Amino acid sequence: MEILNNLALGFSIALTPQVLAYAFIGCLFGTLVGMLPGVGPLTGISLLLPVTYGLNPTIAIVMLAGVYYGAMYGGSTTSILMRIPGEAASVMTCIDGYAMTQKGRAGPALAIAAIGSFIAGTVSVVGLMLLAPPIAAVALKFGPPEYAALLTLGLLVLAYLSSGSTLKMLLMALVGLLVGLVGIDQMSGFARFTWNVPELADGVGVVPVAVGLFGISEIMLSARSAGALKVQKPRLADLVPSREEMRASAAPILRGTLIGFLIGVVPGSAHIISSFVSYALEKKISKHPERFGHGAVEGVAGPESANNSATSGAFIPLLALGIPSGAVPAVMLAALMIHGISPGPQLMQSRPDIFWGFIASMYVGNVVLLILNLPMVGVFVSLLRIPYAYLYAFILALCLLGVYSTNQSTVDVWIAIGFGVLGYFLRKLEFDTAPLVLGVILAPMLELAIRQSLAMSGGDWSIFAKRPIAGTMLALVAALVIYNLLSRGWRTRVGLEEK
Amino acid sequence: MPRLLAVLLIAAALLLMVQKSRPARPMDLSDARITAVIVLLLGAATFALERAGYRATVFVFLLVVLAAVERRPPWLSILLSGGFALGSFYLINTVLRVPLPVSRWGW
Amino acid sequence: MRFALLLLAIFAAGSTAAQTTYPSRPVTIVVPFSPGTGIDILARTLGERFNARWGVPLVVENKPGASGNIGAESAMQAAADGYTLLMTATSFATNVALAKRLPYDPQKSFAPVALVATGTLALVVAPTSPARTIKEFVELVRTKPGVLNYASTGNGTVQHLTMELLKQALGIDLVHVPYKANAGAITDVAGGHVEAMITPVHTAGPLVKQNRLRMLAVLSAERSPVFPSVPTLKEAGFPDLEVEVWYAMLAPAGTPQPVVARLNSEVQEILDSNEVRDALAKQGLSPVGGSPERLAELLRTELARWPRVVAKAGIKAD
Repeated sequence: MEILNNLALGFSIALTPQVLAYAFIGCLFGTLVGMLPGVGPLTGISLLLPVTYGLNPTIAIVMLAGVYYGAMYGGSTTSILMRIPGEAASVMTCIDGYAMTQKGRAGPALAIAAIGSFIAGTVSVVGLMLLAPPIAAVALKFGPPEYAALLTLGLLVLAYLSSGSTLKMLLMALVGLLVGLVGIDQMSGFARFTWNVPELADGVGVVPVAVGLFGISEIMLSARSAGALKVQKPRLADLVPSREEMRASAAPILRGTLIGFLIGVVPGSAHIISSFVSYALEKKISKHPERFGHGAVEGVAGPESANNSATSGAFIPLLALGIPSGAVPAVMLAALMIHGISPGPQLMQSRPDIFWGFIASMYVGNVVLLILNLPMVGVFVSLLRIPYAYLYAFILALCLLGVYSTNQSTVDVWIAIGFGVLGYFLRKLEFDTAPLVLGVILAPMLELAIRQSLAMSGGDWSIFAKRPIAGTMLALVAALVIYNLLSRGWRTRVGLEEK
Repeated sequence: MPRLLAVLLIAAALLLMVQKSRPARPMDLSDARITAVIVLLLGAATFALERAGYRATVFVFLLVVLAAVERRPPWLSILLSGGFALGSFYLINTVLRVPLPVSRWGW
Repeated sequence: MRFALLLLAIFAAGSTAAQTTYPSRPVTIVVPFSPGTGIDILARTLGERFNARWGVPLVVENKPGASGNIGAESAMQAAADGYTLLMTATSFATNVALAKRLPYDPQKSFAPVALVATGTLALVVAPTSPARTIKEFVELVRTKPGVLNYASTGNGTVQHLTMELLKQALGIDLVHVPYKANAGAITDVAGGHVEAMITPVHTAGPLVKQNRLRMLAVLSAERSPVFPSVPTLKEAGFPDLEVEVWYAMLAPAGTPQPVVARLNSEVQEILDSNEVRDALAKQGLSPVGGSPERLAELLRTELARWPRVVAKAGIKAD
């Protein structure tokens, strides 16, 4: 009951015209920023931060949170329409999202992404509201060994991502892992594979790799037939998801929400893998896994929902404990502190108006974004009417622009081009490129976590087994692997499956 | 650690080459030419980006792709290329204040 | 031919015009770290104020990488006309100690403009730690050399090197567990996975107030106004170690003296304004300002100090 009172308080604050206006600006800004590949919510929030100095705290926070959410929504737009991932988390949406676009179902894809994100965002905010303190306490228990175990689970996810041969998938994953290890080693300070190029010292970025591998290679493959490609002329009816698409998306949305929330709560950058895990799960439990990669709407609904709820989940440690769980929450923390707010349990007591205003504004933000995005679906889809011959030139320029502006670095662009060429050949040879990207993301995090754990235990590997949470997760991973080996092994022996 | 991965990678690659269960289809390289052109153009653009500035580079890049590669009418190509180069620069550099390269001569 | 001469004339006129009325076009400040970091927020704060005062935008260009070296190199190569500036922090000095070769000369490649702000560092321990004062902590570690851990934001960072400095001065031995970012490191100390760390006061602030972290000492000359109950190292009877995180503005070497002076006075005025002081204080930063010579002096001291720490601790970075 008290919660409802608090919510009422929160909404009374959030629904004032001024707050709404700033929320709208923030969401709009965030969506623009998110659509640009590479430039992400971090840049967006940092850009607006000084502007908020004169504003009252609630408004400032509402606007900045709007940027964050908006960026998540915006990232899926370019993923679906042009196969360009807006940021690492949107990579999985590229696969089936773009496939849907190619089949003329871009409108439904965008709509489902928006709806899924909305539902996920709303549900996860509820979760945030109700469960913040206890979850935060558990989240604190995640140290390096638990983190390593979680990431190992992520590695396992790789196995379910591939639609082709296991060996090819393994190859891709290994390449990805190796690429991910480029850079100065965190623990010893030695530079690995950097060949004296200073820009590589911090590693090959995920953004150039993803944009190159997915976006640029796609253009290379399609450019030839540019003249011959039929221009898409979507009818109004094509903009709306069909009933079966909606039905098929319902469960993935809910599952994605749950997965995203759980993974997002863990402090650190693990929330990126939530969309990967969701995709893998949907594929595994689907009755027709072969549809994935060719426009299965579950492949859009799940990951998009996971993304959004991970975003809310990431706020829990921040609001409940004052601990930022990643770079973006860290900026939000700085923003909060500049406005004189010290997040933590006492925030709820000392400034309930801020706390509940924030929560209410997250609801409002989600609604605003839905209202912003759904009508825009029509606009975006009509972009597809432009003959591809014109379109791809601009898409390439967009990639150039986006990758460059992430770090103001031409090296990043070279990397993207390089991976574009690589992607071109890989897809010709029928390799699935998603495991590569996941490898790039996972490698540095996993290796760091393992070595941190070993540093903590003094070189003792049993630390992974001795700690309850880590041990349980690893046991789960082991069980899944064994189960898989047994069932797979059976089929290859009988010759039903290509090894 | 990287050495371990490298070894695994080589092993996997070898395995893949060894087990050719299907006769390999020759790679369809009919689009190699246009791909090479695109790569070349992208490379040139990247090279030029910080030297000639964003607007000039993007304008030329788009112009070449539209007019030379895709043989679109020249006036339209110029219009679209210029519009995109200037428009995106305005949006990103001025409105969003994310800096884009500007050459020594101010453009 | 005439056309070329005309162009030349316009060009010459244009460039002289730029010289006489500084600033007449947007100024870029290179921040060699990613957006959202403390230094980035500081630069943007300054940028907003410059914008308001000059009518000309000050644009922040994030060029992260190699602990700030990439951004520094880029700024060094820019024209020394006052339209490109560099924002830098303590890592500027520590990088010199760590890198075998730097693409720039820390003393000669840049002209100091102003020391902007400083932040205080503190030693914090996990709430599960038995040590309640710095004395107890030192004793605890001395009884278990090489067993307890400390976190840092990475190999070669200020936090890492400061802890090494502390270890050398206090004669204690802790195992280094590096993290990629402050957020992860401080979370794990709060969670009890790692015993201790050196961290800026304001980062630890919220957690200390919730009793999720214990602050044992501050590494400054005086107690922090935010935590008046925490002693300085000197008060606790230990060698007087002062390590501050500092943020400064530099310009490429050769930037005209009047431009530097103008920038310096602008920074000073901005730092004197209540709004900025307030915002900085909330981030745990103390505005400094002062003349370019003051900054030059600080740079000299810092550049001399860190190589010694690194050499003694045997830290390497490529």
